[in-house]
Amino acid sequence: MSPALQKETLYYKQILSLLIVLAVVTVSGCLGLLWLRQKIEYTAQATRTLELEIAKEERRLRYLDTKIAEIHQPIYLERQIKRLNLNLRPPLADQVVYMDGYPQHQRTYAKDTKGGAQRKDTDPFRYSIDLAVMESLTPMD
Amino acid sequence: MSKVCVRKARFHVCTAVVVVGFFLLCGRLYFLQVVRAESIAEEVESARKRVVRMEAKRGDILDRHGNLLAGTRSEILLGADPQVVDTSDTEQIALLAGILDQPFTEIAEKLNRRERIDSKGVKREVRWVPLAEIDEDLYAAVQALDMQGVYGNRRYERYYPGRELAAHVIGFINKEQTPVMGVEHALDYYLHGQAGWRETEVDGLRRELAAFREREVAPRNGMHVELTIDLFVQSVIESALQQLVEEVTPAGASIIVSDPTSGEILGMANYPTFDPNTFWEFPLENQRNRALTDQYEPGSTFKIVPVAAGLEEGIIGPESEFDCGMEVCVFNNVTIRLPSDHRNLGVVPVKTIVTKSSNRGAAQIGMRLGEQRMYDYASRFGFGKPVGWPLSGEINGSLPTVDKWDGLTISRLPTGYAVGATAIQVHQAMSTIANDGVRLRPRILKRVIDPVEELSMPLEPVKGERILSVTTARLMREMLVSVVSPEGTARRAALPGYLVAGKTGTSRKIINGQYSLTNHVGSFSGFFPASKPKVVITVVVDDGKVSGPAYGGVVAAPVFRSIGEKLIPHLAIRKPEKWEPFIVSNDSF
Repeated sequence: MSPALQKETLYYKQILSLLIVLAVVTVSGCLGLLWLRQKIEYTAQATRTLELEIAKEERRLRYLDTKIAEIHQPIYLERQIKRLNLNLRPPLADQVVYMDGYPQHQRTYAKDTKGGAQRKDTDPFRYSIDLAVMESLTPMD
Repeated sequence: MSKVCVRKARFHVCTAVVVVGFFLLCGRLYFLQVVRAESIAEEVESARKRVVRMEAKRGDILDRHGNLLAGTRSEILLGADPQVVDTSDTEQIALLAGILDQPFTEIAEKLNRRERIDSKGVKREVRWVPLAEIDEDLYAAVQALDMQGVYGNRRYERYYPGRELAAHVIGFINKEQTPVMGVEHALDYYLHGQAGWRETEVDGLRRELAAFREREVAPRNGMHVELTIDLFVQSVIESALQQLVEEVTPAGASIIVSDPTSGEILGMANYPTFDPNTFWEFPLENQRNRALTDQYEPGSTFKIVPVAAGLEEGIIGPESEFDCGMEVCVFNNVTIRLPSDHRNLGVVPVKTIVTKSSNRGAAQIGMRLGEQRMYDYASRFGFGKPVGWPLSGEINGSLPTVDKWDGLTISRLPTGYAVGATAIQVHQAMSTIANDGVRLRPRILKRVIDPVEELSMPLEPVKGERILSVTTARLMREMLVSVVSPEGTARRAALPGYLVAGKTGTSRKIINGQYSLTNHVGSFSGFFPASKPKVVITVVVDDGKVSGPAYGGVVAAPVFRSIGEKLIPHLAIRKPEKWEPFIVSNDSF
């Protein structure tokens, strides 16, 4: 083979290699893009599924909230007491005994709840005993 | 160049056809790509792209302790496609009927309705038959049946768990999602939130292609509104109202409970009422908040105005005496006939005039005050003008100016006639006495809570206006305590162990232009403990049916007592007059 032909052959080989590399890069790039696109699609779908799940949970929570509110209605509770024949009633005025809270305890409490919501010193439930509840807890016989 | 074996003419024709074809193609391409490019692009966009509206959740309405009074929840309209449902599977249909609590035959009939005739007389397939409106629990049970062709469409509805509870205050949202009245209407700006939107693409089956979401603006949920209403207090007054209706079957009634020192309304109830969940099932008049919209002549509850005015002006004292046996009196050189009393009280002090609710005594005090001062004090107490109710619907009542008075008005107004007042106005006047002479605007809105930012915006009360001195207000209190004594007209309002102050009122209703002898509006407005009032309660009963006249002391005072008894332990109202630690008091009145 003449040197000129050899040079020409090398030249063609180089062009061919370049084309092959170009093709490989293009194809792999395309595949990569496709893979990326698919990944985006999967992630988007997963996000959407999560969104639906959250919406569903929020819906259930909202439903539960209204159910709880319904059950907490004093009228509903009264009906339940009647239905179950529990014979419960709200305490009468004379059944509540008020006690003076100790100021130092109040201060301790206030210190403990620093940064949080503080209970008012005059909060009645902190110092009162509900005798009706005590009655219901005490054995009758 | 080789010669082609074709005729020259044929060659030219072929060339021309190809060239024309190319020109046509280019022309079409130009038309599509340039001339109609915009509209086609829009068409494609509209088919591919979707702007999805994302609704904001409406804020909740809460009571003063955070209990839910109004919320939003999903409801499912369950239906079926009769073309898909297997109607031969009777066992499944029976189970469905059981869940929906409907007769089997009814459900089966609906599912078998496969065809219908439209308005043009053409037979059409039925693709949707509504079966029932159900909640999430029932829908879960229906889904568990796994019946083909049975499915639900979810929608969000406002829900009021307390049903009739505080219906007039809360209001409701109608079917068009428009807030109609009450808090729902007045605070819609805070409650409704801001809807969001999302620009996305869809496939041929209109399913969202989440990867092609372009722009998204998240919805902002509505804020919660906290009221001054106390769920328990509201429940107590509604139960008392229900009992009152059963006992005296009135045409209407209103009860208001508030804290006199802050003006906060703890409860407000009216009869007749309605359930905001099913508002369309009730007459429209039931939606009226009578405590704000209905005026009546307050009768003797109004006597607190002339007496307090007389004391404030220093023209009378508690021991000043008036002759309640007089039938006529001279005022401005004109002889005026005084209104009648139940019995001749003779010469009695002001204290007795209040205790026994003497019309003649009150009229004479009014005359001593004079027309202008009488009017001024009535106006300062809040009669004839709005009390400043933060929600809509309040009326002014009627208090004619002095130039419109006739010769008898000065003798009638001090007894609570010739004036039109709403229950809230009477309540406000009594609250002023309880609050040492400072008139406060009633408060119903406590704060607005932003659940997103976790912030709360308190709705501060408006500064009150002093209309009486502390001394006058306390003198009035003392006198009003005697009304709720065995000698007074409101002994049925007494609460064992507590000093109760209040005033009864009974006015004749105007029927066919005349004062009726049988139809009355009975009322009682009072507060306790008298020395340090914690709660003011006003009860107005319109046309109660009792044997004899429906006096305020007969129909309204017992309701006050019934409510008061339940509020004492709930609001932890101690007995300031007689407090002994660790000893259970059994004293009776």
